[in-house]
Amino acid sequence: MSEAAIPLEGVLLVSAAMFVCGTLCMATKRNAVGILMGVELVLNASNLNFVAFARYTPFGLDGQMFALFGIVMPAAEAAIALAIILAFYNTHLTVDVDRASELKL
Amino acid sequence: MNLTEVFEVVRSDIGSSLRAFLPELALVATILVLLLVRLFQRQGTYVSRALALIGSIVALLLALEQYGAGLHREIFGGMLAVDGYTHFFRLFLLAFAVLMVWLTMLTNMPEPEDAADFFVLLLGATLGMILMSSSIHLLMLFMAVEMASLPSYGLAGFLKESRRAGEASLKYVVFGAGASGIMLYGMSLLAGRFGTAHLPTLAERIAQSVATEHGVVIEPILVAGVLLVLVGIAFKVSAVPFHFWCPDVFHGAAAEVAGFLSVASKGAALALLSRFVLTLAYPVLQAFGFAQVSLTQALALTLAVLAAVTATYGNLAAYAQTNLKRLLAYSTIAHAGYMLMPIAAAIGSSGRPNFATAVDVVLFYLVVYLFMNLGAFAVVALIRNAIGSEDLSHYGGLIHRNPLLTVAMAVFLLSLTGIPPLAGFVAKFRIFVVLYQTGFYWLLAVGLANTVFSLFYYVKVLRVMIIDEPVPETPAWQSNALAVAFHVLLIVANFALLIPGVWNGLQDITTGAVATLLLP
Amino acid sequence: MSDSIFVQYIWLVPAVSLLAAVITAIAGNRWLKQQAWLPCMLAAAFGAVWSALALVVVAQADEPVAFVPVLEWLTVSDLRVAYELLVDPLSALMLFMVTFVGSLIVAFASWYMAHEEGYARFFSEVALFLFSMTSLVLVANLLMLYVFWELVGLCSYLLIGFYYTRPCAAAAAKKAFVVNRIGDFGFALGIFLIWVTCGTLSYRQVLAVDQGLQQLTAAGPAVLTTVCLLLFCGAVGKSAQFPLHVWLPDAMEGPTPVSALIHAATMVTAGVYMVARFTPLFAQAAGVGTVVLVIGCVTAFIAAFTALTQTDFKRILAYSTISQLGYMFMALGIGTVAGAVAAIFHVFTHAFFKALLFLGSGSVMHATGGELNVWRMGGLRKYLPVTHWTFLCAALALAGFPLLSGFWSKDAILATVWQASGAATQLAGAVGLITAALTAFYIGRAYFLVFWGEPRDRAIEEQVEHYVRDEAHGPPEPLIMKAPLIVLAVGSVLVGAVIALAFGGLVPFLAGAYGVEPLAHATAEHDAHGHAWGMMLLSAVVALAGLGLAYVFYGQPSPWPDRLAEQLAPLYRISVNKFWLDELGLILVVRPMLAIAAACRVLDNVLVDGLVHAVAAVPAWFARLALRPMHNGLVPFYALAMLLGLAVILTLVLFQIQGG
Repeated sequence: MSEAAIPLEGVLLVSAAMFVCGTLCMATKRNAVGILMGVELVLNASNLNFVAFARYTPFGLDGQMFALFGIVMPAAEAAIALAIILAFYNTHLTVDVDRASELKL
Repeated sequence: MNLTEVFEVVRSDIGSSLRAFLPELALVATILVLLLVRLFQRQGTYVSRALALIGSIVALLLALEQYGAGLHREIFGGMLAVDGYTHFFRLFLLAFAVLMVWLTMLTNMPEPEDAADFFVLLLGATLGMILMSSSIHLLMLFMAVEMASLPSYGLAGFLKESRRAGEASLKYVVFGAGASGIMLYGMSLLAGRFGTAHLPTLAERIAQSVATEHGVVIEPILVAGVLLVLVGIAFKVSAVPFHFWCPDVFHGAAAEVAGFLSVASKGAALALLSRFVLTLAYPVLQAFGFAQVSLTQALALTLAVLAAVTATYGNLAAYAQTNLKRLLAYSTIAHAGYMLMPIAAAIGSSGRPNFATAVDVVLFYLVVYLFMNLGAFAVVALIRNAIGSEDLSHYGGLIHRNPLLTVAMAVFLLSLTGIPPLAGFVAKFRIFVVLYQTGFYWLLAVGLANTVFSLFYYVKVLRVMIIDEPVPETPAWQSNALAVAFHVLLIVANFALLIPGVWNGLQDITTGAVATLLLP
Repeated sequence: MSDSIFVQYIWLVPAVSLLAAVITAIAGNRWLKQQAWLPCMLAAAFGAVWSALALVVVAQADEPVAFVPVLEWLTVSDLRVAYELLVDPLSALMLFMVTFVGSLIVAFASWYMAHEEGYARFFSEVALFLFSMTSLVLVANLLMLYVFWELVGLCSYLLIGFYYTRPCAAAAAKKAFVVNRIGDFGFALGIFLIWVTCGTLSYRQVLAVDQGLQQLTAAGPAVLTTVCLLLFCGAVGKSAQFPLHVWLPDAMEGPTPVSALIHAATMVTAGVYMVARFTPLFAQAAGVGTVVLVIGCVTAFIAAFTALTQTDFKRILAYSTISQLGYMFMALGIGTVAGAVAAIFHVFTHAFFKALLFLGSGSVMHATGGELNVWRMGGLRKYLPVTHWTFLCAALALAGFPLLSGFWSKDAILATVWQASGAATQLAGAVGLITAALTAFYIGRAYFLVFWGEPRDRAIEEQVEHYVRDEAHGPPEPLIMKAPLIVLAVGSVLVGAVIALAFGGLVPFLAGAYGVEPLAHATAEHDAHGHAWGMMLLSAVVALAGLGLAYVFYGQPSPWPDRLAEQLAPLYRISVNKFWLDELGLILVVRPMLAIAAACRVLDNVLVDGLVHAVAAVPAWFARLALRPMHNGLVPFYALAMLLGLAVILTLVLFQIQGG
């Protein structure tokens, strides 16, 4: 079976790489939507972990469930985030987060 | 217990679970009704506010009834725990929700066309926070955090036309989403490695994995998982260095919302933190006969350093603020630091008794904190309504025009500083006693130094309000019976520990709450 | 006994007074106005009735001691702070005295204080005082005792400074406050020492022979002595004993009913009550009894001697109060139950006649338009008949005129002192007798100067005549003012005889408070009576001699006073100048304190303020240097900072665990 070819560690490494990419994306993107995409990468890294553990360990169905909620919940979050970004666009005419710098010390 | 079993248990147990879940269900029902009202009646604040008030009071009464019944069990197959700890936070958060609705009555916060939405978000966030305090399953925990956060993002940006509100909510949602992502990743590592997401079971398995026959073995994946989850929670608590969002969000959001976030959101996050940390650490400590192992030591040290830095940073930064909301935001950060201290001491010390008192004082502090901090934000909101400004430079000589608000503010700020005989003093004193008893002397020193620092900026506000020359042509605030009652209630609450029986009563409640937390 | 409702609900007595204080404070000025005295009056009368019933219950009980738990304030580990009340013969008697005399004085004050600015404030503060004083008497815990000890002090301060616009009233209030602090400092230390040694502050344990007392004795002989001396220190301040008595004469700046209530009948006897309460401790403490005896003796003599030449009516009475309190401490200094009982007996009778003397002086002051110099008065007996007759009763009682109340109680003290073994007590007994003569003389002097002869000052005479004729302000002696005087006069005449003859003294009654079998003491009592007859005769002779001499000197115009003052010039000057104690205090205490204060101020300005500025500068510096660049509002920067924080924490913890 192909699963022998890809050990659990391999999947975890991929997800770790996704996690790092996602966090870097969050920290470097200036576009608000871009940052949200970074968040999605991080979330999907966790989802990948969940399904991997579900497949390889006795964690089983729990992992699948987690992944399911891990997809649905951030979808709601993304909806709200997009709405807020839209509201921000209405007042600032941009989604560049560098322009969100009126609130500071 | 895995989820298939969970579903089985849920099916067999659904009736009694739902009964134990009644206060939350009341909130859900209220939210649904409010959404329906939104469909049929687009204008008018009164109906929605009345519904929100009734709903939260009904939920509060149900929670009181359950507290009286002393229910103590896991419900929905181990997703949630209904124990003394849950009861305590239910009462705390629901009472706070009632006070919040009362406050909006005084400040006319939601515009008539948005009233239903505002209260839906408020009660929704409250529901999420209650779940945060009661969840004992990682999945439930994640959902609870999201349930509390999503409405909060909306609340932060509720003043739609305001540029600042837009910026505040943008920052909040961006960082909040990132933090929850990181937390979920940590959960995936923890739950995956140990094959369960049920917190008590997870804790036992961690204890087994740590205590092997080769001595103490701590896997990096465990450390990474725990720390990533903690980072997510630390973000909600606004512990340094995950606090950056907090001043900006409080600054941009309406003062009422800032007050809500400052008390309820912090309270729920601390509830979650204590439950998570203690549930995980307890079996580990137990396995080693309450002797310290490197895992709990490291955890305690991390939390202690975070607490010390958070308190110090918050107090120092507050010093330079001129916007009251921003000042109170830093003050909130500082108080989060104080409240983290005993949690660190709880796992850092050995012995079960310290363990219990340490969390006990946090709950005690939270109750007191509710009354002083909500009061301070309420005064800021009312003064904003009167003079249209939240800047300290416009607060000059307010005592001549708004004596009640100024006196109230003085009580709240002095209580926040911890001046005897106000409640804030007792609460802070108890924290320091725990630090002393557990031997965290350096943390105690930091706490004491911080109290001194904090005095300066709190008193600076009072100096401006009381001694400085009045700003010409500031309109006086129109007081009414409801507002006076609100402030009198909060002021009395800040002196309440002097009333015979109150101190012991409160302490009994918090001790009871913690006692059930520790029983597996 | 504890199932009687009068004991169980004894807390109603202080509670009702507190309620009256609150009501008067809130509603007094706006709604009650001239009726502002009513809540206070009702509370005091209620208290008097209730405590009288409680007293009866206590007197009939077999086991006359009951602890009544009321409220629990807090429990922190071993420290339990509760508002628990102790009802026993001692507290019941004191409670009855406070509320009974208090209600009469309040009734008098409703007339006396009418048309004064701050009518409602006065009664609110008096009600607060009644609450504090009744609580002080009832509480069963040293911490609570201290709380109410301070509260009565606060009320005293507020009421001395009632006319706060007068500089001398404000100064007197401050003096009373500061002098009392000295005593209370020692008192607090004493309480701490008890807490440290016994680990409890409840009377129940501290006074128990097998608990607190044993622990205190076991902790070394010096501990018990120190505790008692420190407690006595508090009593010296509160009960105006030498050398802390200087505040009481100045306290006469307060309204006269306050002088009667607080500075004669009740609050100043708190020290006596406290020492009597802790007699089981004082009895065991080596050497303390002698200190108490000597202080009491010195105070009694000095104050009586000073009173001889004072011209201020109220100050004469104030020195008389100090002197009488000295008597009580003399009895307490004996350190036996009999001594404590004699002291309390004198507290009880003294409350009646001294309150009456002050109320009489208040009536005189009203008539003369606030005049206080006895040399400018005279012949007032024909204008104020009721005041005159009642004042005479009280004066005779104070002088120890045979068969009046002061005679019995003073005799009890002198007999106890005389009876006790030791040279010191014999000497004290002699001083007591001399003081008794002085007492009779100075009160006779005051009485004759004020009420006899002809008016010495034309202006005052006109003022009095105008006062008596003018119906605009009502009759000169209306019922509400006459009634308390008459009741107190009856008390002054009869109370001593009733207690001594009808009940055979207070010993059988009060012994129950000390857990002493009344029978076991009956023999001692018998002895006392055997000896007492001689003492009674002696003191009666002394009192009559003093009064007679006063009549010769002041009953009619006489050259004797001036001639004697010339011949005994040094003694005269000592008395007039009050032993120069005020001046001595100024030089020895006040001046050095001011110098230290000035030095502290310099230190404060330079060092402490400098430190404070430095502390305040740190956050400002921090904000400028670190915060402004960090909180720049930029999202990516924030995100990066958080991520870096995460990375640092993760790395550090991993390394720490690997290392550990």
